[in-house]
Amino acid sequence: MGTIFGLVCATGLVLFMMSPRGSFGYLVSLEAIWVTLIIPLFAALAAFGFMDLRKTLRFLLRGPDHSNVMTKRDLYRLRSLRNFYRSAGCIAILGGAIMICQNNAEPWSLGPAIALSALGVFYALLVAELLIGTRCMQVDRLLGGRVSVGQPSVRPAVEAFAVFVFISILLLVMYLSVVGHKLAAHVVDLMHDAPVPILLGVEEVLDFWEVVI
Amino acid sequence: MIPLGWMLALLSVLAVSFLSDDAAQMVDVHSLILVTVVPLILILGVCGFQRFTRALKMALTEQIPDGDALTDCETTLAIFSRLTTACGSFATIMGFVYLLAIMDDPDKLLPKAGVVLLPLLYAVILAALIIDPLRCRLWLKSNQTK
Repeated sequence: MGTIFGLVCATGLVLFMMSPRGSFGYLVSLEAIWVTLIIPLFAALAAFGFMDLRKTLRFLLRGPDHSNVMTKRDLYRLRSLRNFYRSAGCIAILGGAIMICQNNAEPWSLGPAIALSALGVFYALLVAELLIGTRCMQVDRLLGGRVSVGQPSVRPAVEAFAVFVFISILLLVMYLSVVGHKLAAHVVDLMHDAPVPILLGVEEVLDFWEVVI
Repeated sequence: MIPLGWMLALLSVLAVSFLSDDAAQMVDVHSLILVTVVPLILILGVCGFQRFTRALKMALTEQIPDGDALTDCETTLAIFSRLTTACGSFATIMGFVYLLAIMDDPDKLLPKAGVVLLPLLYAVILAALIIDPLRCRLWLKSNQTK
């Protein structure tokens, strides 16, 4: 009961912080819901089988039942499910980033891509950390604390995500530098009323400042 | 249950891709070949054909061999998962180097950046939706009494 109350309060707090105007419509994206909430369930179905998945989901929603004993396998299943959700967050942010990059000529079509990217991560983290993470801690405590089970491989997804963030930052810097350079060349072009080379040398910059001054 | 789960997961990924305005932007055959064939060759080189096929067989069938064999199979699949993601990351970094060559043209830069990210996306999908479920299944099989 306390866990459910804590989850509801935490989720409500996050939503309240993200919604200063009181409208939650922009927090709903069907594509993001499909990628980050449904697809991990299918992966879990492939990994656990139907009965075990049902048992895991029942435990996830209802909490520990006194009639059955928790085992290391339950903890492993929960951790695996959490990792599937984290990976789905990575898939959503990568898919959204690709759509953003390839539709940049049409700014009005960027909305769904940004929604898939940002909301996908939001949903994935909400489920993986708030819902499943707390249950994992609960089972861990029930089993005696710090139980060592085989670690499901989340590292590939985390590494891929780190590479993506690194490349995104570099791309942003590159893009801004190129656009800034072009803009400077355009300003010089306007000032001189004549075409200028893209790469500005020292003399051209000095000429530019002379014109400006 | 494995084929059903995979089928649904992959169909979902395809459905989301095709629901977007331009489905062609999510398809790149070179990236797909890179993240599927290269890790396969590498895993065959690292673990050998027999170990790899035994790991796949153990994961896909209902056989339950002794613990050591299962641990070995799980390790093989873990290496395969790591190799797939590493290939995706490597291809993305190589693509990034290519982007440096065309950085004087911002109109080309962002569309190419989208293509460059595709191998990473394919690699994460393969690792998270196909290889990791197999690995989980092997672990659960080898720890049935715990």
